Amino acid sequence: MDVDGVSILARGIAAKGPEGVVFSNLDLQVSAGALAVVAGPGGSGRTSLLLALSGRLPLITGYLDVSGYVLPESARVVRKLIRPARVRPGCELEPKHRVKEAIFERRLISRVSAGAVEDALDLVGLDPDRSALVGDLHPADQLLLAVALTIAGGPAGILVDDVDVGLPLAAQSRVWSALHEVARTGTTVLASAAEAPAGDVEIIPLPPRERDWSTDVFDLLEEDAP
Amino acid sequence: MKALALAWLELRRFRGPLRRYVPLVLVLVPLLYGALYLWSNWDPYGRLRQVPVAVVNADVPVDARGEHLDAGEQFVQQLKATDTFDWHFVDAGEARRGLESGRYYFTVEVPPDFSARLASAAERTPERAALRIVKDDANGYIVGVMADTVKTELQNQVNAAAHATYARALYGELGQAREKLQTASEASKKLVDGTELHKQGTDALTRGLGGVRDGAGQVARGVQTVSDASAQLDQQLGGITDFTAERLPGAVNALVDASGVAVEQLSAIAATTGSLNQRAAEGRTAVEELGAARPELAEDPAYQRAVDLARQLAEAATSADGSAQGALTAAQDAQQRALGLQDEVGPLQEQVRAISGPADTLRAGAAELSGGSDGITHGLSTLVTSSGVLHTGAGQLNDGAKSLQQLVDDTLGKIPPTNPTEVARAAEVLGSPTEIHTENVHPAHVYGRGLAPFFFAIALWVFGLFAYLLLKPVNQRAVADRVNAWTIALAGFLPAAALGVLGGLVLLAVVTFGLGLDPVHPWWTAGLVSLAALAFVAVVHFLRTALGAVGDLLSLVLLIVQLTASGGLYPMETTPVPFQAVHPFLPMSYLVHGLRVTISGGDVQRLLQDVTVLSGTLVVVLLLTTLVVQRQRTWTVARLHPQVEL
Repeated sequence: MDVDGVSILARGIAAKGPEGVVFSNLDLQVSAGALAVVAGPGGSGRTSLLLALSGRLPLITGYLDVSGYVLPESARVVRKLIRPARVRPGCELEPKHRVKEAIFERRLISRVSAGAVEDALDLVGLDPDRSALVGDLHPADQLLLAVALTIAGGPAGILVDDVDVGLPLAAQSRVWSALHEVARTGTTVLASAAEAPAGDVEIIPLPPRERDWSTDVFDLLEEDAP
Repeated sequence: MKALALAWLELRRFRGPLRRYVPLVLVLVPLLYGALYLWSNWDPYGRLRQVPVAVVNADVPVDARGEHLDAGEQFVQQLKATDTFDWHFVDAGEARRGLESGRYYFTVEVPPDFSARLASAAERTPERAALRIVKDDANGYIVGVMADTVKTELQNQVNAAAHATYARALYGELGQAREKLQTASEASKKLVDGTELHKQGTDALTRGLGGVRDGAGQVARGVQTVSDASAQLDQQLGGITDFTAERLPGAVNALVDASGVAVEQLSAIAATTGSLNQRAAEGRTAVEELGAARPELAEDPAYQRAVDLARQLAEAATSADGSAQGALTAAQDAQQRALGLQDEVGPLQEQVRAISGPADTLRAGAAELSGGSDGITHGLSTLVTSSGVLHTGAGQLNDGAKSLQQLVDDTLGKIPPTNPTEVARAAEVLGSPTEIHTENVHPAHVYGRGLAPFFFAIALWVFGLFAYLLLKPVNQRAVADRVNAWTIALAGFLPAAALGVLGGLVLLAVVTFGLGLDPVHPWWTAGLVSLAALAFVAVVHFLRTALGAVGDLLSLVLLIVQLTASGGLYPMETTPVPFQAVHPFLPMSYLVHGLRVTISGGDVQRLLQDVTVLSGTLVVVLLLTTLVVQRQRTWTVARLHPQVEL
């Protein structure tokens, strides 16, 4: 299951929320089939950046190009190319679903075959009990299940938010290596983490936000920190 | 199909010892809200008899117009016969304490002068009898409103009883009046008869008096004649008296003198005639002797003539002598009589004088009699005139008596004859002279049945609110993937919609079979409840999807607005203008109206309109949700980090 991953080129992009600028003047470049990691603490705008790169969050300025598709004009195409495996908050597996239901749901919404899902599970090295509740799985397994279900549809890129949050080190390295495996198929993996892993990883720098004084004081933009 | 499957997966989230009951609880939400309220208030007006109310009878009975009036006791008996409320007949102190402590919801007090005032109604200055109702809104406001309804009823009952009493009294007096009038009628008949007789009598009297007057007139005239005659008599008697007294003696004397002269002269004449007769007789004898002596002469005519002449002469002389003798005799006789008369004149004078005295008296009497009879005649005339007037008067009197009788009879005819049964019936009718027949084209019968549409509507809306607190309005994994927005919207809508329809039908079933809703159109009701559940859920779903927690808040606001402006409780006309203005834009308005039609019956045409509006709402809102979902494929920082979150 080889995929032509997306490559991303961004110049001076910025996004703004009700509380002020989330990130700004950001330049980045991601190669196709790379594992790119946005590293930073919670609340630093990682999730917003991931969404923005996949055409799911409008930018206020800057140039963004995903595999030649310039945003925001081609956001629709880019959204089809890059699928979120997990975005917190916004797009997560339902913890109260059984694994088989999660698979069933994914087959409905991504129109993929059972075999594709099995291959994806194999790829990330996961063989969960199909009757187990997703929420009962190990957090790393939950994340890998989400990743597997997403790549089953063969997207050119995936978003994986909060990779290392709440995971013990061993599990972290398992997840990272699984994500490496995914990237190796050609799929570009855009991940966010508190800390970037060692190895073959493209680091996306996240400049400190240019915050207003007021947003400093009334900052409610606490990202989901554990 | 994909939407259905996704909806099913959404419901599959509810597992675990407690979570699995979430859908069930959701299904029961409408029931909890709608049915509990309707159950508790299904027929409060029918259960007023369990509301304790104190009745204080302080009335003092009175005796008026020969009747004993104890209106307070009658009122109490009347209350005992009705079970409008749970009446407690207590004294004033207990009533006040009970009201204050909330043991009684209100008190009804019959004041001491109740009977007295009622009795005064038949008098000249009637007074209103009053009942006092003391409420205490601290014991609940609605019960006060119920007391107001009972106030009218009590007033009607008391009024009816009082009116009936008056009517009985009135009919009693009417009966008496009728009796009196009957007597009057009879009397007036007699009066008519009497005046008839009277009229005839005065007629006869007038006629009789006329006769008397005419007679008296004749009498007067006769008396006048008598008087005149006696006056003449008197006058003539005066003449006679004068004559006899003054001229008669002279005349008689002259008569005597004249008769004496006559006698003398006649004696002389008689003597002459005597001698003449002798001579004549001698001359005839001489002639006859000549004839005898000379028969040739006897034949001679001249002689004969001479003889005749001699004879005639002799005869004449004899006759003249006879007459002279007679005259002399007569004169002598007359003289004799004159002398006698002369002698009688004296006594005659005496007698005549004696006559003239009574004649004077007669004349005076006759004159007086004439005057008197004239007076009588005059008086009788006046009397006749008066009796004519009297007759006319008698006629008028008779006419008057006849009109009187007519009047009395008419009046009598206008007073209906009364017997006790009729009086009782009439008194009852007069007691409550009007009756209001209320017809209800589509009766709801009980409070709960009437308000069911409103509470069904609230229950369904509240369900929507609850549902999206627990269900996810949108499957974000599907949004992030290749599923079309319509399917996602539908998949988010369907779980709540299905539970809502189920909940609505459970509510309907429980209220129908448990409380006896008995809708006129059960299938229409079920359909409408289902449709409304869909429409309401769609609205809440849309708001929740588009605005998140703010949408929930908005749904709550909408619920409250619809509570006030859907016309579920009071008619819209009683609400302020803003409520009336938003009324047609609220889906609940159409559900409330539609359910009224399907439950109590009514205009199906408008029901179809309600169905159309609700269906339209459903479709439009679902499309709006689809648009929102489409837009949500792109996130905003605000949506990632909502400022308000439940």
